[in-house]
Amino acid sequence: MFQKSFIMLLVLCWPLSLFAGPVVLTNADGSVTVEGELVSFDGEFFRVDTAFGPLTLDAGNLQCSGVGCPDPVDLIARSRVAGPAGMIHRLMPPLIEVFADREGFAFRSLFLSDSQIVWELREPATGQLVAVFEGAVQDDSDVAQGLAAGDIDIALSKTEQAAPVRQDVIALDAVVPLVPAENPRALVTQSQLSSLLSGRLGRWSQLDGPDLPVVVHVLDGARGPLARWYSGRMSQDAFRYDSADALADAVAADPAAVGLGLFSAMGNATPLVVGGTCGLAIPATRDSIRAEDYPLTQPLFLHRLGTRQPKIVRDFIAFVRSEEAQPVIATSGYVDQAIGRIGFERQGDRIANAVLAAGDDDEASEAVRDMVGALLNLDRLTLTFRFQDGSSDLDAQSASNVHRLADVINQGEFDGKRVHFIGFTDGVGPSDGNMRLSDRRARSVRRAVAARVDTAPVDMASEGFGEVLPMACDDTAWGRQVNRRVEVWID
Amino acid sequence: MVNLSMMTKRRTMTVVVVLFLAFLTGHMMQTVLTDRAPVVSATLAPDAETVGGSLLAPKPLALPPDMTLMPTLDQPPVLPRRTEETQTDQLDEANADCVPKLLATTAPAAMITLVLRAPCHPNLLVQIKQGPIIASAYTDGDGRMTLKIPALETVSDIQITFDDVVLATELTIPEAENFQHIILNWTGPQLLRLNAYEFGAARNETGHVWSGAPKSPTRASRGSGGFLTRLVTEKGPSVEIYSLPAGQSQLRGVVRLVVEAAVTPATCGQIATAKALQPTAFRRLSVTDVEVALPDCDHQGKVVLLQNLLRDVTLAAR
Repeated sequence: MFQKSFIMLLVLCWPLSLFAGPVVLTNADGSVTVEGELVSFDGEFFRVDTAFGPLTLDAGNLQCSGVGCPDPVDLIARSRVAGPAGMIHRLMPPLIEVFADREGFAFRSLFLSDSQIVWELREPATGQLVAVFEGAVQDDSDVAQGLAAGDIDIALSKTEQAAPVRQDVIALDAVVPLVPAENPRALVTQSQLSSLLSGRLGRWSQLDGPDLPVVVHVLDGARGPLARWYSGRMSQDAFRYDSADALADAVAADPAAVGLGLFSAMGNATPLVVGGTCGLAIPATRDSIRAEDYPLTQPLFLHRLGTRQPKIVRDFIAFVRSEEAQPVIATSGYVDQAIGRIGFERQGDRIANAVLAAGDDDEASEAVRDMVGALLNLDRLTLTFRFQDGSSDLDAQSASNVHRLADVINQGEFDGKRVHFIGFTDGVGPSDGNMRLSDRRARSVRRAVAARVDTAPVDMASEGFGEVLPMACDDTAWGRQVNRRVEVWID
Repeated sequence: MVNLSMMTKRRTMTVVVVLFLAFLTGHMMQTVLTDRAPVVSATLAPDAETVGGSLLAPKPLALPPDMTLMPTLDQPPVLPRRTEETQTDQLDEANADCVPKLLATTAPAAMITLVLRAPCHPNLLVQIKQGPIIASAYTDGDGRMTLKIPALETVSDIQITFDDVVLATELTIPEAENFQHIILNWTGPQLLRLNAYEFGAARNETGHVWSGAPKSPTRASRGSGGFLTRLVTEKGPSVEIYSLPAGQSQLRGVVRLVVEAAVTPATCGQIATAKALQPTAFRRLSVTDVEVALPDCDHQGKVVLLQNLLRDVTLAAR
């Protein structure tokens, strides 16, 4: 095992060819000396193959002598980045350009083809190359293989990966049903959408639309998030696309079209809002996707192996995850993860629904009153926690949210305030059981966040209100999933 | 008092001279440029489609009209609103001496009309520099040149160079703020084309703006779409600029931007080099260097589509 990982280490070592030869590393007072072959130097750490095996040493206190020593002037960090066209060509360029600005480097973007682009960072004074990011457009399976084989340093993907791959959610997207602008229908129920996609609803006139056949356009891969809710088959006659842009163009140009595309690439098509039979509907918006209130949200991942990346690449990844990068991500057409606030007054619809749903039931009305009393003077954060299907484990976006919220709390954003974790359930089962379940989930999320919070002067509380505040109809699986959640409220 | 009245008189004369010159040179340009052998003959610029960025079999495209190669001269010149540093008082004497004169005036849709009179420099390649871009054009047999170029900034510095002559002028055009420009800038005998497919338009439909259908600045002033400015020569630097009114309420949707690089006898097997400039949320113009390897000479007559070079423009957030 050790040997295997060491071989992996050698394969992944960056940039291998630059370093070959013996070095002697000595600390400041000369008390410790290490001799060996230099394997790599990332600008911060030496990796040396010694008689005792491979050692990684902080370069800060060390003097390097010998022919193998890197010339710091010639040191260039290289990172190979692969991912889907949108992430390579729309998301990465502004992120790297703003990162370069922030670090004081000159930036150059070099376009080689629709699938290859290179970004260079230089010292502005000397013109010395500091870092090269080589971007390549590849589909998800190639990206995963490339990462495993060490051909890729940073993988961008919509497919979740397990350890040892390290993954961060860096942006969000969503699968959206699309129709051309001239289609008068703005809202469908989930079962109507299923019938449209499967071909069971063959003519728009069956939905009080024009007398046109329904033409289905589907993006390959868009079924990922959808598959969690929709197990039915797609129409045999569906047109298939591997580019979300091409799908949006086709839908926009076809008066009879219904398509499944991406929020980040709606082009000139119009999104169709999916609702439930109870009258609740959640359109895909930046806020609803960030809050995962919109059910077909698709997290976008940055994957890397646990091996050391050059320092500047690590800095870049940290930047991409930072709050500072969120406005940059927002301009790329993808949805960012900035933590926004939604005031209580902007949630009138939700509350009105809760009151109506409670009806004459005394117990339910009391629960609604309790909830309104508790939340009246608070703001809801867009950051929300949701669970994997039929499980109490957080989904990928929510797991990433644990880190985001803890980071923000550690940075002092909520100092002196109280953070309320408020649990809700779907309406299935007895209400006292749901009350307990929502309380338990809220507590477990609070504990997960608290475990990552240092000693910030922040008070954290949790409470559960069961099924009293539905966001979607409970008559479908995706509606129930949307309703099972832990919201975060703040004063 | 005397100076003032003289200035008024000069201003009037300028207007007259400019109008006349603009008319004359516009007319001449059309004649001269139409007669000039086109930079690339139409047979080398057929249509092609790609899948996943690779070349596919081309299908022939209708001959682009000769107009393709002309700078936009779509409307009668209008009264100049502002003139600076142009020594216009000597324009009428310019025929007599060899001192080149440059007149820059503003035109609708934040355009700049440049009128160059260089009687001793006929048929000469002239470079036009504005901010980060360089274009070129030829003077005619009388050493005249008239062209239009969009103002990229509210304060635009224009430099014209030929031989060892440098003429500079600065214009303030507040309206420039209302436009965004997507620019392709290259040098030499390459055939590059910027295509804007506005709001769902397909190839050769009304909303397809390209050198074969450049549209007019008037269209942008009306708020009904963008237009293309093309300043292209075979020997000098060339530029295509797609200008789109920003913040026009009637325009909504996505404009797709596709660059085409033709495989010609001059470019086959070579690297197509260019700069692409486009505004981002963080820069007025973000620059991308282009170095695209073109297919070998067996593929002459085909076009490489670059669909990811420029980002699509979205107007009016949903």
